[in-house]
Amino acid sequence: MSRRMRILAPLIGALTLSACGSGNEENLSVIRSLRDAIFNQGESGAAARPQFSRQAIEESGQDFILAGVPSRGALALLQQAGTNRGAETWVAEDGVSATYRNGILIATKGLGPDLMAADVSGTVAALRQGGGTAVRTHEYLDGNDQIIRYRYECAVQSAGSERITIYERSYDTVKYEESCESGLQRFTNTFWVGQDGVVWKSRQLISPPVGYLDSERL
Amino acid sequence: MRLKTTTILAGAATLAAAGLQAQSDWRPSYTLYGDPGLIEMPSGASDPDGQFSLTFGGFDLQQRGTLSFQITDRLGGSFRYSRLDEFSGPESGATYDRSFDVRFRFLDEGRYTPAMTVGLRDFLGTGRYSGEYIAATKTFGPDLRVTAGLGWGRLGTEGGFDNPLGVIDDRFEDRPRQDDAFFEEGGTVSTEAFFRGDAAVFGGIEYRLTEELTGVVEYSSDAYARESQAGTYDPESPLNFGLTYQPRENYILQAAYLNGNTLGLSATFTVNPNDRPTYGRRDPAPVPVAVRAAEVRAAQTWDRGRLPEATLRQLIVDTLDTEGQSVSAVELTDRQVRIRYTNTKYRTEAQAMGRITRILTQALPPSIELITLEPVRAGIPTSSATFRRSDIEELENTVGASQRLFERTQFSDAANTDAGLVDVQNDRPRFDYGIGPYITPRYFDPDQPISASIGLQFSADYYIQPNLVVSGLVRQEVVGPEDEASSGSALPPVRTNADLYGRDRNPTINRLQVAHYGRPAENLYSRVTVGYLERMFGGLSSELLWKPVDSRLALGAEVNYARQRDFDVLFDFQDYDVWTGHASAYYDLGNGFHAQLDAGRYLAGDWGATISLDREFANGWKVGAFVTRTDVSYEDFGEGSFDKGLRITIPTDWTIGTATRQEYSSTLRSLQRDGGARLSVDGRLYDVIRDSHPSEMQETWGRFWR
Repeated sequence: MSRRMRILAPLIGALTLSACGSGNEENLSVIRSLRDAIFNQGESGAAARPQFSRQAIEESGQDFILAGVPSRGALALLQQAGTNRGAETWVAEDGVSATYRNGILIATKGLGPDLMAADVSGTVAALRQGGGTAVRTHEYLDGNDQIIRYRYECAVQSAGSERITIYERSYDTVKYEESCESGLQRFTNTFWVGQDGVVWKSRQLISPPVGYLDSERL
Repeated sequence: MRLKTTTILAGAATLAAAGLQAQSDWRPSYTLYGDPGLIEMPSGASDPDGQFSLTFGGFDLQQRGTLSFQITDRLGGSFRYSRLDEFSGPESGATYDRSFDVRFRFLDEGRYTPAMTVGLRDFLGTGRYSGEYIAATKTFGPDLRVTAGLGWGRLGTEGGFDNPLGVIDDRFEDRPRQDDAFFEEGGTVSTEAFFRGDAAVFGGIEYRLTEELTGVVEYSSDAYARESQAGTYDPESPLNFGLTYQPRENYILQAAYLNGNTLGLSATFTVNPNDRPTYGRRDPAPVPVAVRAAEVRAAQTWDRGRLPEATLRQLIVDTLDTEGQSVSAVELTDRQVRIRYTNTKYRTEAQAMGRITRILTQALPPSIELITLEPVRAGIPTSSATFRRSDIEELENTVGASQRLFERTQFSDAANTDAGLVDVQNDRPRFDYGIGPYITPRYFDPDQPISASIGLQFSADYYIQPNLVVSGLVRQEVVGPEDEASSGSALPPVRTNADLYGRDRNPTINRLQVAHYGRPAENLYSRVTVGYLERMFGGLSSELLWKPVDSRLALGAEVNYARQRDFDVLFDFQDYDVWTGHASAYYDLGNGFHAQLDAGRYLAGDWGATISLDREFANGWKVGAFVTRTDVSYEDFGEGSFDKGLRITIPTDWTIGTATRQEYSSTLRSLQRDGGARLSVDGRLYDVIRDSHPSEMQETWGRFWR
């Protein structure tokens, strides 16, 4: 904590204490949020991978995705909360959700600069064909709450076979790299696709400010 | 729904292109006057659209605090508050001065062309800094920038020559003497002087030494003529040298060596509403849409035996409550649900509607296809939006969903549609109170540029009915400015005696009133407020507003009877009373610009009109300016000549990242006098009701799927 923070801390504490009553609930939540914003900025740093056995996953009888946002050092277990015409929405306990279509990320919520929606039909087709070119469209909200849309030109290429292990279970996968470009923006998504076409593992762009989402299907 | 297809995303710098972008994106620095420029001379370039900057700059003799705003892409403005020491000669006292600038960039920088700006410094006011200019700025390579310009007025005093505009008209050759007789009470636009008299050339270069440090050399065309004449400043050279240090995008520090013998310093802080900070907490994800199976979607009815209406109503109330939506009434039919609710959580009604509709897809029987949402403000329904459940199911997570859904949503008025609604119990308390600290800043007092009243306040609201509320606010000042009564004007002292109120430091009843809101007919809204309306006046305030849901125009009428309160701010009144009121027209100009015209009788009994223009960002930032002219002469009005000011609103959710309806608002008046003063009533109709009307919601609809 810097010197400035040490000076601020009691001040903010005093403000929190001195306001009370139901009419001040909102004031209090604002002050608390500000306090959190000031003092908990150092969120990044790698989160520890949760330790449990394959047997525990199977006994739960549920599907999980282990998802991480490297730029924030966040890692969470997601559970499926809804399906809408092939779009599966998975949510974490801390209020973040990720939506995939055929294993390709099409939306996130609760991360701030979220991916609002994406059209990934080209990428889905390219992965099925073992590679090729694709056009994908992303929608974001800009700083003034307006929808902005990007159209990326992408090339999907196989980067060879890889055997990956996720909590004691191994899969023979083909690793695909999807390199996309729009103006000055560039990013590369990586998919590990099993023989059954399931994307077991991936690293996919959420948004430029947040960076990538790592997902593993458990 | 406007869709931007720009290719540069805020934050794209974190990706590969960081280096490239930084080079072409060399923003102007700021002068000691706080406008974009070099050290004292202005630039031909301008700030990014929407940017605010706050600069404190100056040297031992003069200090200037300046708030600048880039009003549109091309048009910029500044408001400055300056301290000019030894104003009338050595050892004489300081004077404080307010000044406004405007500038317009009429040419963009291209491969061969410079950016060019024409500007007026201190065009309104007492003219201490009055000067006009045309400036051109061109960037050469990644690190060099050159500015050259032509100045008039104060900017034409060093090396001045005959005005080249004299070719057009002889009148340009002489500038009227800008003394106190010329400006009288100040505050008027000095058109007789613009671009008149001698002109002079100024210029300079900026060279980037490192990422953070820039060296500046400038040839200034301001000879500090008045100050030299008064013997308080002695410029030895027109050359100024500066070093600017920009450790982060939002902070700039500058040190300068002025006129061969003086040290100048400045610090600038910038913020752009278009760049949302990404720290802080975030809204949790919404509940995903539950999709009905194809075979049940066609159902024409639902089985009330298995799910009684009362149970479903309560389910709706309880689930929407988890999202901060307080339901007051529900209508259920076989194919439709209609819900009246108060959004207590989200700044935009669009986001609240997005959350509600998705929750309802989880809770409603499959036969219900239409979802009608009627947001309530101040206890009255303000609009009605009807969604097809199939659209919500179809569009979730798809590209173009915002625009398509807005096009398919039906908006209408919710007046006189109470039939069929069943009132429900919600947990919203009838009594609401709060105790906390308060701080009321005051600006531009001649003796104390910034002061504040700080203390404790107790506020309470009691809802007799949702649209009938008793509210009060009691304050105990702990620290406050110690002031003598300020000079009066020729008018009844309706505002200039503000300092006489609550001087004994006892608790004050700042507000104690009953307010009633109503919907007398379609498109009409009403308000009646009775009691101690504000710190200085009590009485009765009544208002009627006409605003069709899909109209960009609104018309209002307000009639008030106000009586001046006793200086102890308790229950007694003084003798002065007045009938005051206005006819108002409000118009949403599009692109976030809003205009308002109020014409009528003001508190001191003067007749006139107020024009306001605001720029409202979809993310809740608002900035505006207003001007009032009444039948009071400049002389009778006193210093400033007429009432004018700036106002700014900063939404709290922008700052902290989580949903809240709170915002911070402040009005900067150049000087509060008695002319053109209005009664300060809480909860005027236009601002209460318009958030849920489509012209507003269209701007913020991007948040629906948030």
